[in-house]
Formats: sequence, C-alpha cells, structure tokens
Amino acid sequence: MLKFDSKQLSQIRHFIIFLNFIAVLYSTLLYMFCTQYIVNKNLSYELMENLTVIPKNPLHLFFYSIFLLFCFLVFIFIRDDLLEKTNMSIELLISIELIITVLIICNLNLCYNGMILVVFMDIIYYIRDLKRRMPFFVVSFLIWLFTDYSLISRLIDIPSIEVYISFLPNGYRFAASFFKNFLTSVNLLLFIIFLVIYLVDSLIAQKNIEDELAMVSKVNTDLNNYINLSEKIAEDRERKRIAREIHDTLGHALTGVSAGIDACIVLIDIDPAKCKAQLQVISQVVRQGIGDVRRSLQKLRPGALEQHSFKEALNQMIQEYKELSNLDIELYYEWEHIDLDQTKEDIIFRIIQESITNALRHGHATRVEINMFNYPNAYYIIIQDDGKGVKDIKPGYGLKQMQERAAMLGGHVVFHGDNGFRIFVSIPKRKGEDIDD
Amino acid sequence: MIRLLRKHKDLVAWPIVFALMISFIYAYNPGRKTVLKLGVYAGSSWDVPSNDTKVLDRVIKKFEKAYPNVKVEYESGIQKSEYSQYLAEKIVQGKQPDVFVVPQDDFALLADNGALQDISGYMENQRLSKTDFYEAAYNTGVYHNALYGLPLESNPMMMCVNIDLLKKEGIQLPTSLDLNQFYDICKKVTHDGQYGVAGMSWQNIGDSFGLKSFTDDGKEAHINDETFKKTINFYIKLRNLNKDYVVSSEQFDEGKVAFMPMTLAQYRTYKPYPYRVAKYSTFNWDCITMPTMLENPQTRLNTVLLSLSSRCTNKQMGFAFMKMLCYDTSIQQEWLKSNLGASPLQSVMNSKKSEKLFGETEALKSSTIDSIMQTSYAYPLFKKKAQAEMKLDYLINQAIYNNNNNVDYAYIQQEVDQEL
Repeated sequence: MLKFDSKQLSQIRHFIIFLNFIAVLYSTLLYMFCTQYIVNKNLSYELMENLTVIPKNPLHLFFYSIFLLFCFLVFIFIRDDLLEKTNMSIELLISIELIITVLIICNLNLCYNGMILVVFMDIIYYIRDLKRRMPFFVVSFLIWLFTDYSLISRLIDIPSIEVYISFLPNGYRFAASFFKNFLTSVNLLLFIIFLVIYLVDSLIAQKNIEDELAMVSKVNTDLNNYINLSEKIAEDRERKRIAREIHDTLGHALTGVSAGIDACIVLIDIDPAKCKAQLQVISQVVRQGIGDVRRSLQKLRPGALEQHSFKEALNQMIQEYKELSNLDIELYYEWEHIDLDQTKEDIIFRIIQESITNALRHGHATRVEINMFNYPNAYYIIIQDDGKGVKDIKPGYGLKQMQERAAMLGGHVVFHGDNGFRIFVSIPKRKGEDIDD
Repeated sequence: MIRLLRKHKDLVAWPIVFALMISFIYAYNPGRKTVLKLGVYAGSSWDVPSNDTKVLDRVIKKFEKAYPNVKVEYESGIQKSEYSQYLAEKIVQGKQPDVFVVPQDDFALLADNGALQDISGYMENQRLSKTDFYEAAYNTGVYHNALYGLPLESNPMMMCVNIDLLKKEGIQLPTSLDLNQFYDICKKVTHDGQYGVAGMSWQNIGDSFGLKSFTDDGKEAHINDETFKKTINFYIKLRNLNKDYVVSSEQFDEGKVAFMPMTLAQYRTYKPYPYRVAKYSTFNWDCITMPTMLENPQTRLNTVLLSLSSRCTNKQMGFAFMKMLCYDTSIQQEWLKSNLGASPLQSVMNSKKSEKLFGETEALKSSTIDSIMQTSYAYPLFKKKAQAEMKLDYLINQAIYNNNNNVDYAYIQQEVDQEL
C-alpha cells in the first residue's frame, strides 16, 4: 500500500483524533453537569417539559462514552498491526471504525457528530483507490447527514443538549455553548487542513511520478541512441573485417595472380614450358584464393548457422530472443525436406532476424508468429507480430535491405502494417532444393 | 507509552477479559434478587386529608410472596405536591422507578416523552379485559392509541346539595338536573344572604354543555365557537344572579348555599359516615350527578394511573405488580376502603362490600357512584394541556372580572393557540 511519509499529515491526524476525544468527553460531561445543576435547582420538571424525550441516565451515558472511546483507542492502536500482520481487509477495519463512531454519536444523543470526520479522514488516508473509497464516502456522508441534530430531531425525538444548556445561568450558558461550538469548528478546520495537506501531498507525489517517468523516457531514448551507435560501430567493424579479409585473401591472391599472369605474358613466347609451370602456380593460387574466400565467407556467416542446421539455428535464435525479452515467438516450419545453399540460408536467416528485431524494437510486440510455407513453385515466409504496426510504411534502411536481400534470390517482400506488422516474403524455388521433388 | 502498551499487549488484554468475566457473572447470577422499584406518594391523590397508607405495604407483601425472587422497594414520605418534581428528577437522572403512580396532569407529558411503556401487549398476553374497567377510567391511560397506564383510582365530579335549604324553599330534591332547572333553582334560592351555587367554574358548565376546549390531539383550541360561547354566557348569567358577588365554599359550609360541585374524594372526606369527623354537621346534605344538557352526560373524571417505566429492566414483573394492584378485585376493594376515590373496576364498585362501605341509607349509594362513573368521560390528554388550560382560564376570568363580561373569543383563541 502506498503511504505518504508526510509527517504533517500524520501529526494532524493524531491531533484530530485527540480533539474528537476531547469533544466527546466534553459533551458527556456537559450532560452530567447540566443534569446535576438542573436537579439541584429543582428544575427537573421544567426540563422534562422542554425535552421531547426522556434522557438516559447521565452516569450510564458517561461510562458508555468512556468504554466506547477506550474501544476506539484500542482499535486505533491495533489497526496498523492488523493491517500489516494479518490479512484483514481495510474495508472491514473502516467498517468497524464506522460502527464504533456511530455508537459514540448515538450515545451522545447526536449532540456531537464531528467524530464522523475522523472516519472520513481514515477513509481518505487508508483507501487510496477511488472506486473502493466511494461506497464508504457515501455511507459516511449519509451517517453524517442523519446524525445532524438539527436535521434528524424533526424526525425522531432526541434529548437535546441545547435544552440542558438553556437551563444554565447566563454566563455558564455562553461559555458552555461557546466551547462546544469552538470544538466543532476547530475540528472542521483541522479536517480541512488535513484535506489540503493531503491534496498537496498527492500533487507532489503525482509530480514525482511524472518526473520519474520523464527520466525513464529520457534513459530509454539514450539507450536507443546507444543501440544505434553500437550497431553503427558493429557495422563499421564488420566492414573493416570484410575489407581486411578481402585484402588478406582475395587481395593477396589477385595480386599474386596478376603478377603471375604478367610473368606468363612475358614467358609465353620465350619459354612455353616455364609459362605452363607458372600457370600451374597461378591456378594453385587462384584455388587457394577461392578457398580463402570460402573461409572468409564462412567467417561472415551467422554464428548459429555455422554450427547447426537451418532449423536448429532458427530455433536457437528464437530461444535467445525469448530469453532476452518477453517476446513469445512461435515458429511454423514446413521446410524440413529442403536443402538450401548457404547464401540462401544466410539471407533468409537475416530477414527473419531483422523482422523479429523490428517487431521488438519498433512494434513493441509481445508475440511473433513465423510461418515458413513450402509451395510447389515458391517458398513463402509470413512473419506476423501483434505490435503497434505502422499506418504508413516508409521503408527505412532495414526494410530496404530486406527487400534487396530477397531480390538477390529473385524473390520479393511485401509489408502490411494495419494489424500488427506483417512481412510477407516469397522466394522462387530452384530445381533440386526440395528433396521430395 | 503507546509503544510500551503495544509491546505488552497482555497488560491491556487481561484486565479486559477479567472485567468482562466479572460483569458476565454478575449479570447472570441466578441467586440475585430482582428489585422492583415503585414510585408512590404518601397520602391521598385528591388533595384531601387521608389516613391510610398501609394497604400498599400489604400489597407488596402479597406480591413478594407470589414472586419470591423479587424485592419491591419504594421511597416513602414523598408528598403529593412534591411528587411530580420528584418523578421528573428521577427521570432526568435516568433513575426512574420501574412502576410508578402517574397523576393525570403529568400523564401526557410522560407518555409523550417516552417515559412510559406501552402495555397494550401485556394486556393481551395476560388476558386483561378493558371492559372490566370503567371506560372513562381506562381511556385516561390511552395516549395516541397506545395504553400507557392502568387506572388505579378515580375521582368523579358530583354536585353537592344542601337538602335543608332546598326543603326550606319548598323544592323537591331531584336525582338529576339539567342546566335550566339548575338555574331556576339557583334563582329561586338567591335572596337574603342565600345563594344558589358556590365554586361552580365555567369548566363545570362547559362539561354540562359537552364543551371541548381543545381538539383531541391538542393541536388547536376550540374557543371561538358556539358551545364555548354558550358556556361562557351561561356562566355570566349564573354569576349575575349574585351581582358580581363571589360566593365562597365557606358560605356553603355555613349552610347559606344550595349547590356546590364536589369530587367524590371530598365527599368521602367530609361525609360523617361511618366514623369520620363531620365537617358539615349543621345541615343535611348529599350529592347528585352534575347538571347537564346532554343526553349522554359527560362527567369530568380524574383518574390516577399506574404506569410501567419504558426503562424498566423486568417489564413482565413490573406489569405483574400493576396487574395485582389495579386488576385484583380484593386488593382494589381494600384500596377503595382505605383511599377516598372510586375504584376503576366495575365489579368492585358494584360489590356488596362497597354497598356497605358507602351505606345504604344515604343518597349517594355505591350504585349512584357506579352510574356516575358509567357516564363519566375521560377528556383527552395532551402534553401542553395543563399550561394551555391555565392560560385559557386566566384569560376567561380576566375578561369576565376585569373587562365587564366582554369576552374577545378570537383574541383568546389566538393567545391559547400559541401555547399549543
């Protein structure tokens, strides 16, 4: 449960409770002392004539008030413990509080109903959810309304404290009324202050949350930038590696070949036999070069494909994505009996990889479905995610590259962004790839 | 402090458990005697000297014998005049007796304030029949269609007649009169220091006309209407016989007045039968029903009620006591003998013992009282009746005595309505 740390708020809560205790005790004692005064002055019959209903024994009223206040106090002490240590719902606790409060107010013949503000305060303090709060507000408000003496005394008969006070001598009457109204007013005032502090606190809390959200958003942007940057670096590194590979393998071989051929051009007329030998060497170099190029290409392949079959590689990649994110990826694979060459596998692998990355990064998808169909004339790959999708697709670098890659295989790619994001890839079949054919 | 209490919850819990156990044992202790507190006053209910209060003690003894686990207590020595104040004091402090006597004037206030228990349910459960009581006596305890008290003792209004004076004037004593006959007799006897009637109030005349000064619910006064005007006009006419001279009850005592309204209790106090000191020994006198203009006479009846407190903890027991005191014929018979009113139980007033008590030779036989009780009427009570009646009486008298019989009914109506 969210709790405010505001010291002021809890201080004012305690003070309101304290004040209400004073007010209840004061009203109780007022009944007692007024009764005693009236009895001593032989005004009982006049009091009876002015009251609409006979009063309770003021001594009972006093003890009952003390008992109820004691219950309330015990309840307040154990309430936080009960909340923390047991599974007691706050609704039940507030209901208990409401019942004790109503008993206290009724016991006092409705002469003081400010106690209900304590319940209001606790509802606001403990129940943060507006929907859960509402029924309690309604009930408390109704109780507040129906325990208002001036309102309810027209419906039912209550021995009014005002009648008692009216029997006191002028000076005391003024003091008694004044202190009673003073307590009521201070209680109301404190309640309003409580509300204001609560409001300010919640505004501050809201502001803090907003600030935190803004910070998170900023961090997110930074991270995105960082990802872009590291991609760029990785790309550069890859380029350099390719350049080095070309330089190291093909470059050397081609330099050697070109030098050898130059030598052959000179030798062919002078010594054809030597030329032949030279050509043998060149041939070897070219073969070696081809081997080197092949090895280089091998190095450039996706790691997974290097060690596993195509399907295993796909599954491994999917697994890695699943582990890295909350993405749920499902693969429908119809290509069990298809033997593709490495280049094709690489390209298709890259397309699928790119699609999943896009679904995750741009679509914020939670689920991706990869369907790999095998039709008589073509292969179809449909990658569907449940992300945001894109209304108006403007292919960026990734999508364009995807299209280019597919085009290298004579295929093409279509994108749909209406309902999540869908990538449809078709690649024409070449003879001999499908073992079943 | 709070932290300390939180740490040592036992310190708080054990005393509470202990206190609860003690109170439980106390509350459900089977050996504890139930105490039934009574609220009664010493002396007569009717502002006349009275000699006997022992009958209540006998009733209590009988009750305690019938219910051995009950102890009946009452505070003795409270005078009738202090009783209303005493009761109010107890009620205000929440210490009201369980069963108490309610004077008629206080009844509406107490019933309205919820001090009294509605006993209609107990009446039904215990099979008490309301027809055993005189209707008027029973109806006194009815307030807003609920029954708040059983009649303990009633006091009907009667007209006392100086028989010797009438004989001297050659007038035969009738058993009943209408107002016109009454006026004629008064007129005939008024001469040479002799007067017709003493202490006849305009309310007495109003009763004879069937006047109702207030609506039954006490929300409105009926002053500016025909019956009221008739009543006041007759009152003025009667008064004019004496030419503004106010005849006092002392003059009746001296034998110079023919009629004087009197309650049964006054009659029983002063009638020298069987052994009381005679107040009027110089002339023969007796009582008849009040003069009336109605076919069904409405004699004013005053009734003292016994009520059950709404805060009584053992209401069954309380009602049992009420039943014994108000509904038991032998006890009511005893009560009738030692007190001065009439019994609200019809069977008691018609018993042989009562016939003997009131004497067979007198004009006022117990059967006469029975017929007066039969025709009597319980005027509806309401909370502010006493004040309103006092104000009305004051205004009427002021108009008649200070304002030369000029009664401004509309003004009085307005003034009295303000009290309601």
